[in-house]
Amino acid sequence: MNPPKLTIEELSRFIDNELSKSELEEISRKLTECPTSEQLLNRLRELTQQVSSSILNAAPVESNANTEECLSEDDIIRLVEHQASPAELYQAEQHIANCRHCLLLVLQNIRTAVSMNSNNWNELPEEIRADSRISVVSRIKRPQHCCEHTSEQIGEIRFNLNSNKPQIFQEFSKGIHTAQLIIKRISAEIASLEITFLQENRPKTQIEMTLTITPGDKQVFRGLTGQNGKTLIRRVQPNNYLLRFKELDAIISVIISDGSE
Amino acid sequence: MNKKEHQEQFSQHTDEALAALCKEGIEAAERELLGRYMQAIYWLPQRIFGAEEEDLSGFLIYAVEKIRERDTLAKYDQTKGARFSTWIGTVIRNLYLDYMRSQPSEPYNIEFEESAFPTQSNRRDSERKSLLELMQLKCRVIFKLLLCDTFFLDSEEIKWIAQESEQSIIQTSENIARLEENLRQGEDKLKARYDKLSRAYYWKTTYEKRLHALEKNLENATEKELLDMKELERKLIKRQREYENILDELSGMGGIITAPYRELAKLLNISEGTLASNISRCRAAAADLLRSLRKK
Repeated sequence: MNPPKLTIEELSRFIDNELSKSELEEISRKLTECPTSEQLLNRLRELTQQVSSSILNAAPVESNANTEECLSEDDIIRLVEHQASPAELYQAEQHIANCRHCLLLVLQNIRTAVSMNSNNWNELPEEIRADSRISVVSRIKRPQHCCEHTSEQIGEIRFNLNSNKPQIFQEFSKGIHTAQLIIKRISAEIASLEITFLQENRPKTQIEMTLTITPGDKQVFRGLTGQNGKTLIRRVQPNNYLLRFKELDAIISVIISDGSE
Repeated sequence: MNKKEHQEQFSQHTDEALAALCKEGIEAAERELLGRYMQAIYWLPQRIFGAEEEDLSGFLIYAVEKIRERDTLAKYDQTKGARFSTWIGTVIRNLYLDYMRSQPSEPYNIEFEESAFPTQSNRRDSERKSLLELMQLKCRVIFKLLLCDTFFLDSEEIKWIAQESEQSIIQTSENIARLEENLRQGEDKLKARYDKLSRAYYWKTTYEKRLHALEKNLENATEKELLDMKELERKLIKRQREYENILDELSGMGGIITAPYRELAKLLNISEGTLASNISRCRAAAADLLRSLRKK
């Protein structure tokens, strides 16, 4: 086999899209003329992909080490904001050269500051902007020991994602309050839960509710009802849940299954 | 003054001036200031920690609630010299760590150990891992920078960049953060790749760590911990699949998306020509390494 007409450096720049237009034309022509170069190019491409995967597989070891000499949050903010004196800077530099924990912390803080000050954020997702969850801006005052009070279970709603029904609706009442629930199938593994809270048949806003997995009480959602008394919880996976309404002092058991049991 | 007039009045204020008004208990100022940082609160955890998208809205609610409960905005002290945006970034970052710690059975920092759940891809994984381990520090750094994997730089590698570029470690960290920001603002494909890789990697290893920690104590596990394990296994399988799909997708891509030499040369404080030679030398060395690994 003939030696390749192209060098590794030329091929490397070709892969990395670092050639001028004329260089690109020249190298593309040589590649069609020289199968050995083309083979080498493919090998280098494969290698680059291989290295990329290796990087992803190499887990950095996180460190919790924190000694008295470690930098405080104020120290780090001063560094990030270029407020540290030359002496402080020198000291910090000496410390992070030997302290993995602080070095990574400094880098993380600098990353945060650069992101914050570049102000280059994507828009909030539509459901956050338009949905009731935007009402998080309102102050939520929770009573102390809120987890200790026992609420009354006022009903149960079951939905099998593999049933023929794409959605179900059920209504629960306690006194003058009514909670309406709609569970919709999004896929075989995901449902959405729409809750409307009414007081004397009129939408009631700012009602705090939580959705927790049971047993275990792991909270998967907490929010307030927005305009029209509605809250939409997207991406609910098959599980047994408890939906709690603080205002109503009531719990509804929500069971979403995928039909596998 | 009504709510709308208040809003119009405060829209002209700087963040620092609004924070001063928060100290006086003016709620409209607090609302305006929080409103300005909603996007940052939502997206920052993903950018810095690779947080899962489904966690972001939960965190937004948690963070805003905590900020208001604790009157955090009123605690900003301009005399300490930090800009408000930098200061609130630290607040959000710390709140996210608290939020993660508050999630049941999900310890945040556990030392990494080999996955307790062998998968079909483990053999391929180990070949990839050896390749990186055997590579010289210089080549490893160059590849990580070239492949926009600055997210995965470890402390030794950051120190090496500092030494090579004749900059302090702090300055180097800043340059790395700026490079990331430039890449993020750059080509869409590059940005998507960068975000996707970071996220997939982060969650795959995090779930492995958590699961392994729970596994260690399997004999004494409570019913709740067993349930958590089941949930973690499910999540790990999902992430593992996603991770494999990204790798397959990358293998299928004709061209590899790499960072511009111009940006990397600036970070390493060398000319683009020198960088190009270094990259090709590293590629050649890595090819030799791979060949010898395969022979073995």
